[in-house]
Amino acid sequence: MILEASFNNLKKYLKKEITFEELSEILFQLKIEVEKQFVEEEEVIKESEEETIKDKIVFEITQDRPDLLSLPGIANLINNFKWNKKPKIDYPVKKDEGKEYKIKVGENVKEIRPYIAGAVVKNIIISDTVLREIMNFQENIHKTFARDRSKASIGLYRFELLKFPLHYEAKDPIEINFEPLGFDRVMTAEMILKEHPTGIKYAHLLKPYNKYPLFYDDSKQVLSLPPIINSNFLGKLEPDDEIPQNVFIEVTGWDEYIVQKCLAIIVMDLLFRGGETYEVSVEYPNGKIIKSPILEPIAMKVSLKNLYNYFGEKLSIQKIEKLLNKVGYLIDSKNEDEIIVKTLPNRYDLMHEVDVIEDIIIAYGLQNLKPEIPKLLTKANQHPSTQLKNTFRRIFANLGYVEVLNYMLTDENILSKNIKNENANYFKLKNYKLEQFNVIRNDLIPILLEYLRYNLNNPYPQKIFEIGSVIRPNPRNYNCCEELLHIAGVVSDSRVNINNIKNEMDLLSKLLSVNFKYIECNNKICFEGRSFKIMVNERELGYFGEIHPEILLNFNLKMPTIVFELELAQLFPEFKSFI
Amino acid sequence: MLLELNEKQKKVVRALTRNYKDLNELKREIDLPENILESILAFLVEAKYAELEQKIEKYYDLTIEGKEYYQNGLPEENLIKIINSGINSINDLKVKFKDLNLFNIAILWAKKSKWIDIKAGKVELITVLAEIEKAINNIKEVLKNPNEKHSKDLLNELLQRKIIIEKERKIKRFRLNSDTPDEEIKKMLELENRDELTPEDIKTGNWRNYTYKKYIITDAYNPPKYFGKTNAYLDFLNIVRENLLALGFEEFYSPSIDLEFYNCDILFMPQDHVARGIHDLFKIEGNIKGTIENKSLLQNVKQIHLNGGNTGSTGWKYNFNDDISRNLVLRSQTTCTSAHFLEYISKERPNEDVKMMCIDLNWRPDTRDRTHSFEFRQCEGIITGDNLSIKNLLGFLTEICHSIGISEIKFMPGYFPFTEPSVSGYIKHPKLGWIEALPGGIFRPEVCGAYNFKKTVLAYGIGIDRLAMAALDIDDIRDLYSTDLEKVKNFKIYKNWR
Repeated sequence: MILEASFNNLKKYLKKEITFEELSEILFQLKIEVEKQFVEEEEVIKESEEETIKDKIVFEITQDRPDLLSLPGIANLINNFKWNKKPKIDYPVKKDEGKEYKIKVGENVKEIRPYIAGAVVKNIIISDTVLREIMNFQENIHKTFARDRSKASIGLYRFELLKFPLHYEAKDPIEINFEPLGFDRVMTAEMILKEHPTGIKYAHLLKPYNKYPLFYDDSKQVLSLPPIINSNFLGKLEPDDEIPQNVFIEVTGWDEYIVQKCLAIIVMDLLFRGGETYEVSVEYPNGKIIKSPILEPIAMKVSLKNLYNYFGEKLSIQKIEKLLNKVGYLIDSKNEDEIIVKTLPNRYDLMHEVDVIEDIIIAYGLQNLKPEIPKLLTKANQHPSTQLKNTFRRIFANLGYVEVLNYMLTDENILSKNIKNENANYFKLKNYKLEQFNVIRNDLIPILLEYLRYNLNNPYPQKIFEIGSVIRPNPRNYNCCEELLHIAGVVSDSRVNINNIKNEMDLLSKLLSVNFKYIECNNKICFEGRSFKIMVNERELGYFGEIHPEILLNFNLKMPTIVFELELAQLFPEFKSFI
Repeated sequence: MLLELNEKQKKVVRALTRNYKDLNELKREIDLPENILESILAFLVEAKYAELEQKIEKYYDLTIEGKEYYQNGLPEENLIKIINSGINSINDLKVKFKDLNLFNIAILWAKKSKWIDIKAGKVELITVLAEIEKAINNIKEVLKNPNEKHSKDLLNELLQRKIIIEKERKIKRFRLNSDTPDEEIKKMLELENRDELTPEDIKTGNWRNYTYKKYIITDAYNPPKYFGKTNAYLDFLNIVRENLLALGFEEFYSPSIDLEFYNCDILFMPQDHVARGIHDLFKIEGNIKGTIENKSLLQNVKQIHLNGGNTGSTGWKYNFNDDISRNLVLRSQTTCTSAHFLEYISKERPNEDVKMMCIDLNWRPDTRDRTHSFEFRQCEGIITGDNLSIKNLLGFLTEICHSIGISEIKFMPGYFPFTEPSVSGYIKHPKLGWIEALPGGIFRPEVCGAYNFKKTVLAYGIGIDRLAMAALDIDDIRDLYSTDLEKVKNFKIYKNWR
């Protein structure tokens, strides 16, 4: 996950001076990569003010930490980690005397987007920069944690203009009309999905339904059409550098846990910026009332024995506490066997004590851990297929073949059109990126012929082989296919003689003490009368032959070419599988 | 130093003497093709073993007329023969002669030589026949060998008659160099210099009598063009394998096409995880679904995703869809192979400590660049035991790098859905700098819990292609899978004995 931000703004939240190198070093230890996309001050040639960030830094945040997509969130972590600032984890949810901020949920959103949660954040200075950061944070959460708004969608509104209670209900698309964000005219829901850029982008989230969810206030002013777009009026925050503002936040989605978590993540960002939050209650049609935001610190129980095990040594409880503080935890209680720790409610990655253990290890620093190979006696064993492959690699290299290494993915034409096999049996990829690599190989010879095509200007003779897997559909197996170990070779030169390969096969049979029988066959890619099946007992091991000139031309080849291909499992039926 | 001569050259030296010999003479004497003889002579002159004299020589040759006379007799000779047979009338003689021109010449020269006289249409001899014959024979001697010694008058006469003509020619003559002592030539001829040692020489013991020519090799770079060779990258992977075998690892493989169940679900990746999307996972076309044969494993995984099951985890808190689990995908990580291995050992060898390795292919819809490919290899490993720590994981990753000569390594924390704690290791590439190549961690309880596997499991999936790049000093991952045969043939050998 990517976060782009201004380096100076980060320093403002840190309330400390820091060089980029220091920052990079600290974040590296906290599994955040950071890249600088600006030149140092003295090198900057002053240009006219532009919209773009002049001192841009780019953070790469791991998937498990959406809370760190917030710039003040990162600053908070750095303050704990670098300057040992004691973590603050208690953020009270206040109540306005005599006032209730309620959202009433209609019955009919149940099948469309059933859950909603809200919060009020007051007394926050929203400057131009802050507004841009909040919007950026919201979009990043939408893109990542909320899976492009399918899991959750967020809306921010101008609190002062709302008349409570608010209503969240599904409406007929034709009944919905309001001025969407960025447009100065009233549009129907249908128009928004067809014409508004955001509407077009997220239309698929509402298309399956007859009715669309609508969020509006008690005076019927529309707040938003979740999860598509806010109103241009209520949902458009205006920056103000001096006067603190009050904001209303709403999150809708399919999963109550996700909706609450998403709200906590967003609210925490605003609280880091100096706001204070007030409670919102959501009333569901069954009468159930759920209060939000949920900012209870997350409590986790950690067994000290497990901690020591993972760590590889014992630590004093004082040391553990110090480490925990560095990564945002407080110890809530402790006894001989375990500790209970608490941290901020915007963490999404704390599912098990191991997640806390990892944070302790991060606080300790991987660079401070001494790598150690454990004394652990185990039995080594080389897989039979490795031994088999190596044996065959040696034999064919000694016979003058050069071993090549091709991708398993190839071009569909190579397996079908080029070898005149329209009914070829192979798997195609649903989401291939390049036509050149859109199927999985089911034979090696076509791959080697393609290889020769790349070498038309290299000296001849060209004598190459490859050993590797080919895959063919087979519905009898759990994965609907069989993976076979093949070896194939091709020899291309101005003059070739099929007897050379026949002699090599004779040698192989002698070295393996197996009898090969050769039976003329009419392999489609070979010249008539110039291809032979190789039989071992009653099993077909493979074939050799001379490639038909028409096939050669399909691969752009101008030299006569002889080939062989063997399925190695046929030599050793006692092995069930070589993979 | 004596010149080493071969048999042909010796033949020529033997034919040369202290006196000059004409080239033609040498040609007659020496049984060698002319061009070879001439080149050997030139070589000997160059080497100062022979001297060459070139001069211009005058000589007489027969004209066309002369050649005819030599064959058919001189006209006057023929005339005398006829007269001698009794015919003497001019007219009769003319008839007998046929060629009037020759007849006139015959009469002219016979008269000039004062052999005949003509009176009243009749020819009569005025010189003794024996003398005439002698004179004729003299002429015929000249015609036979114009360059023998002959009387000046006769030659002049014949030149005048245009029977012979004077010509010039270049002649080349050779002799042994007068400065080379006989002894040296003798020695040189006795020296038995041979090109090849033959089986015959060895058998007969003749090699003792011979000396063999020195080989002269040039400085020109000229490696063999055609040879067989195993693939250098696969050879490198074998070295990695051997190193791991030495540490007690056993090899294990799983199919390339697998179910999302093994590639993702069992590894605690939620079904809407970004790494399961079309940008991270190749899916098989067609609505083909595989079969999850281990039903209890499926149930456990489902429960763990929902609420952590009995692992002490909260789980991902969602209801898991079997249909997605059964999708066919190309393995995107060899951790998938580890998932199969855990299924196997948890059933067959639950109480044994094991180390598993697997160097195998993976596929991801990545854009290709110097360090990324859509098809790449990982060196997977898991180590199970009762007292394993994160230090041990760092120990194995470090050891594997060291064993192939990579010493600059650094670790940072990482994130993978199936390991916690997770580590992301970087190696220093000589040209590309730090590259990420060593992902690993300790398997989450949610992963081991699905199998009810009780031991700690260290796991890693090393980007072995990238390690190879650093070890072999290659700066483009695609060079490991090169389609240029010459490149493949000349791929540098990895010096694992360093």
